[in-house]
Amino acid sequence: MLQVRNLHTYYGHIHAVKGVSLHVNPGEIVALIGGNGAGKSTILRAISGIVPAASGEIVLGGHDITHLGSERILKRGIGHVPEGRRLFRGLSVRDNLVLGAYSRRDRSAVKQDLAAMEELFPILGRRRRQLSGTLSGGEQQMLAIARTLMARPTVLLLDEPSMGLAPIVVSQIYEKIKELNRSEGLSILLVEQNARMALGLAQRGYVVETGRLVMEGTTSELKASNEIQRAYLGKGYREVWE
Amino acid sequence: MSVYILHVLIMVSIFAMLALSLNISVGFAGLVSLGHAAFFGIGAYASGLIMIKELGSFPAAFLSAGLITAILGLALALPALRVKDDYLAIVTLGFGIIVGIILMNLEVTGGPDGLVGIPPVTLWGKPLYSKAGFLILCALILGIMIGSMYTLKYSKIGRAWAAIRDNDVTASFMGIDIYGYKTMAIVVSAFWAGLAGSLYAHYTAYINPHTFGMHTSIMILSMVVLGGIGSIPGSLLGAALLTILPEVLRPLADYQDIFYGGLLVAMMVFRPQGIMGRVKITEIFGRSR
Repeated sequence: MLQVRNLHTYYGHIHAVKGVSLHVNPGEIVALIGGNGAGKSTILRAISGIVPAASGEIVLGGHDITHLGSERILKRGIGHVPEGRRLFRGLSVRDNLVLGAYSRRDRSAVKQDLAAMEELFPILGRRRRQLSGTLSGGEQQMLAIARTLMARPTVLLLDEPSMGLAPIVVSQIYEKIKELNRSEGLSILLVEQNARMALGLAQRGYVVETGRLVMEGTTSELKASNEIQRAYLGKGYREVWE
Repeated sequence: MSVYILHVLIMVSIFAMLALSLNISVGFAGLVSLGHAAFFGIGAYASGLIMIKELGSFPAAFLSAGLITAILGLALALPALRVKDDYLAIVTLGFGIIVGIILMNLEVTGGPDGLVGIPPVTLWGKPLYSKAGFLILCALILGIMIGSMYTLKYSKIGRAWAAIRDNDVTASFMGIDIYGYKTMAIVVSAFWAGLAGSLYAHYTAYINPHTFGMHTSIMILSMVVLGGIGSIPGSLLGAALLTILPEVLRPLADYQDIFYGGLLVAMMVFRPQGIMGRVKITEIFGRSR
């Protein structure tokens, strides 16, 4: 479905991503875990065309999308839920959703999708006219996801959906992500610092450190690895909400 | 109606067009401009020159003024939109100064003396001398403009502008061509300011560079801010207030500017979003997010 081969990106002189290769199969959830500043978000930004790829290839469904602009990549079916949600805070919930469908021309289908989103996230229907900046953190994350889904992506890039949210809210959001994957067959590339949550949801995972992939495998392999346990899961420590 | 009241109403409608046109870039798309009077001037000079040199009749001069101003708007937008927020404000300020200096020094624009003897508006071959007739013409054009502003605001383009104003990085995540839409906002804004300039030139019959300087730019921006950034009725109200108030305050002549200054300060303290607006000026100017 989505393939990234030997991707390199730079921020000015900083070599942020150093030869990353990964893939996401149709209908699969893949986790990308690693510490702060490891380059996880940059990989997502390069895939969606927000940050240019210096070299390497990004292929979606057999087509090279490496050097298409972000608008074209979105139209090809890659939806990106940015880190920190980045809502249009001064606009209503409804306007945010409508803007998510900006790249689409099929008006009547957009209308149906609006209704579908309000069904999937009922709170968004109840808060339709409210300014999105006044929503709670969890509601904002739901809106950010729904807004990206309005573009009808086939691959969803999710950047830290758990960021700054209470554990119970994180579980709710992960439930919704699982549901989307199961019912719609949506392929998902998930970036998380919360390795335990991410590995609990995904089928496969990659570990990123300072711009390089240092490990990959199925989530059960990764969870079993000593290194991962020590560095990311906190050996012998179980989080309260599990 | 007395000639004096007709005159004030004509000025209100011309400044309402200017405030509305500035509201497209400042209010709809969130692009600060401190040089809007330059567009007003370009339109006035273009239209005046076309009719003085007998290159065309009024309707042609009027539309050409809009188009020429729009083209110069494009010429400003292409380099200026590489920067944003406070920096954009400074670039537009510079643009206003440059246009002022050019008008002041070109021979064809009459230098500091300006253009004298601009013919009046002619419709169907007949000159329109009556002030009441001119007011009706202004009101008609203003009406068309208001209609098109509402259409724009609630169109797909208007939504894209609102998204860019709110958060331009996210707008690009939605697949919105930020640079293209910002350019469009400046061009449309310049077009309408040019039309207002044309009406002004043929109304006063005499124009000079002084009218189109920074003082006027700030005045138009004040109208938008006072009425409410992004609000269409707000711009109308702002233009009406700031055009009529100086007339009412004429007895206080020397203290007028103090009153204005005070009004704007009070506004920022008590109602930063303007009389009818929702967006605060701090969200447009100097965003530090």
